[in-house]
Amino acid sequence: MNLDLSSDQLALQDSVVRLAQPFMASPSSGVADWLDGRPLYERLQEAGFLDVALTAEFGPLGALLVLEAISRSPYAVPVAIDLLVAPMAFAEPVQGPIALMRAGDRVVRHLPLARTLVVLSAEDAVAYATADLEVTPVETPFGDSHALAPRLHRATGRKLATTGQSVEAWWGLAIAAEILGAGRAAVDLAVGHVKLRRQFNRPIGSFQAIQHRLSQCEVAINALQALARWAAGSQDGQAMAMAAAYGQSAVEQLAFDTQQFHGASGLTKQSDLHFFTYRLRALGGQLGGGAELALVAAEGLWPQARG
Amino acid sequence: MDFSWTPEQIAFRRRVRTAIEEALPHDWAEKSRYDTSSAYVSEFSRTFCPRLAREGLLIPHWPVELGGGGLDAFHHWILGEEMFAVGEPRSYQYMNVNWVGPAIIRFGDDFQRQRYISEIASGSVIWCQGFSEPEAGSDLAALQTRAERRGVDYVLNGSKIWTSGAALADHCFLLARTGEPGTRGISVFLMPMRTAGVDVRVIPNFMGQYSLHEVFLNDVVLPSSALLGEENSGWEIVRTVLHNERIGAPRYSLSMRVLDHAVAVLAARGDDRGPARIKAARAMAALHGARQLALQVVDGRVKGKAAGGLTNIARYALVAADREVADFLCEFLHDELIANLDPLLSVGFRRTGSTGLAAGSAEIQLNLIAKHHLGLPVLSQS
Ligand SMILES: Cc1cc2nc3c(=O)[nH]c(=O)nc-3n(C[C@H](O)[C@H](O)[C@H](O)COP(=O)(O)OP(=O)(O)OC[C@H]3O[C@@H](n4cnc5c(N)ncnc54)[C@H](O)[C@@H]3O)c2cc1C
Repeated sequence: MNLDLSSDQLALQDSVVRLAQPFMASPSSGVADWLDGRPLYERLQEAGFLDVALTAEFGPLGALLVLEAISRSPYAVPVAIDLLVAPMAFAEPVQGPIALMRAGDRVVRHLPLARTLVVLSAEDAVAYATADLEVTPVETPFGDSHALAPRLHRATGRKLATTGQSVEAWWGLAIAAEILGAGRAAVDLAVGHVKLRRQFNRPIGSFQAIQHRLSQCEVAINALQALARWAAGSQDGQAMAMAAAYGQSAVEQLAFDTQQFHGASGLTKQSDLHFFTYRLRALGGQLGGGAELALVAAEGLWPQARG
Repeated sequence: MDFSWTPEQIAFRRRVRTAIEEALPHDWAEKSRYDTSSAYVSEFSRTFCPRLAREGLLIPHWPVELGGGGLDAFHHWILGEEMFAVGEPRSYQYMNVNWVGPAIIRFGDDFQRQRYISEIASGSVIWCQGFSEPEAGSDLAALQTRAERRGVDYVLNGSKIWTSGAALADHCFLLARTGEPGTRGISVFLMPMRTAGVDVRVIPNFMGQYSLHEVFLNDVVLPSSALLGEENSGWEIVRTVLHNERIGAPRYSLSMRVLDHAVAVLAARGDDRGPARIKAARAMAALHGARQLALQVVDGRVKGKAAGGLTNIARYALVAADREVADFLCEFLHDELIANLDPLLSVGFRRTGSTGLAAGSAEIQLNLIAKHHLGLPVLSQS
């Protein structure tokens, strides 16, 4: 047991933070609903970060640390599946950026930015080159680029061999990591805001009602981080499921409170907050949502004999 | 980062488990009802703790010179997890080995060490903690119990409240005012409970048989050798020895066991449907989050790092998780709780009530997180 990051892990974290630095705030207070993060994706790829999960020294915990850091960016960086799901759950290389959906989903996050779409069904995982698909982006405030689920021609797809733990288990952990990053960024913005904004002749951050709710957000972020790192480090399926379930149930509090304490400005595009609050809400509903993922966790904890 | 236990830690946990299994009677659940504070458990501790002492499991984390095993804080924590999961058969003696003993070792003089340490290390005494007062709860520094010098003695007057195990205890680790108001006028006294003028009254409560008491002090005369450390250094002593205790006992280990048991009860009667499983899994995830945070605090101790804000975060995570456990039990094991026939379910619910109060209230933790961790401006509140 040693719960500090090793010097190698700290160095990894540090180098990804440095690489992503230009993408940690939006270029100007803009009008965009989402910011194209492909340039950051490419830098990560060139610098070799996308292969971290498969290296002996870092493994999936390294990939999680990278994803945690990248997810603090307001940019839509289509990297979660590449970092954590593809290397751990697909037995063969898949060209990124990868968008992932379950058969039956009606919208697909990151599809307009992806080179490959992987469709997951109860039976298999099938990869499609997005160049062969008709992609219809949707106009949405939910922090990232999304498209309607495209019409698929099975014959054009390539069935992927998957390995070990299910794709959904790693996907759940990736969702947890993205909630962690976006939640961290949103709480940091809210804390910064309540220190500066004054009402009744005092900073609103001195009101206990606000302090307690932000402290509770801070506890949720810390617990989620501890769970996600434990899950990635131990590669324990139950831990992954619990991290995903915990992360998704924390979304309500994180998204609501950080927006609320910004007052009316939290409903505008004046700051980067909206990228995170909306993205949090979107992440909270992926893979069926928090209740569904709690059921998955329950099945790991207390398997039910199926009749 | 490494989440695996060492072979030595795994073996240690197994040893603790075996010792517990061998010592607890087959009808432990019914007899103890997992009530740490009961007459039964406290009496049990007077044979159980000496037995642990003989097996090197009472003070494994104390220095070798003092009869301990010289093991690190992880071993101490493993010991606590295993004990708490079965309802803490050490009764209040867990406080002796966690902080009373270490405080006396660190701040006591030769006489005090000789008098108290071997007693604690042999597992034969019970201590209680006399801090809170009717007008000094969260605001502990407002305590009013006075200790006045009279010749070579001190004379104490005042009252303590919420004192756990007072009616069972041999000694009290007591805070009293010897100087100015506030934190700089407080001293620690090591007070035998059977001193003239000490009057103990049980407060009927929902936590446990001897969980809460009032302790009245009327012209209690203590020799100056009862003073621990310097006069007026009490706050410093308490901060030093209790900062480790702020995450308190590993309460989650009992709560996890209760959840497993509760789901099994539901499954046995075919009631383990989706809504129950969702709520149970959420509570379990929250407990594991709290455990991982507690382990981070322990890891910091092993490395000699200052406790910092993480302690408050870990503590609040536990409060939130325990609340989810209580909510789940009340919603889905309603009949069992009311019938009160399943000791594990009953204690699981009961104990969650105090998680947010004992060892510093939930709201105080949030105040501290806001101040020290988030750096939010503090006007005038705690
Ligand atoms: C089971 C149990 C065992 C205990 N055992 C012992 C023992 O052995 N020895 C001992 O000395 N004490 C013991 N205590 C007492 C415990 O330390 C106190 O209950 C605790 O410090 C809170 O004090 P209080 O009960 O007076 O509540 P109060 O301080 O009156 O608090 C009541 C409420 O007000 C809130 N509040 C208070 N101040 C603030 C603030 N500044 N900001 C926001 N909210 C605030 C609290 O969070 C709480 O919700 C025990 C308590 C329990 C429940």
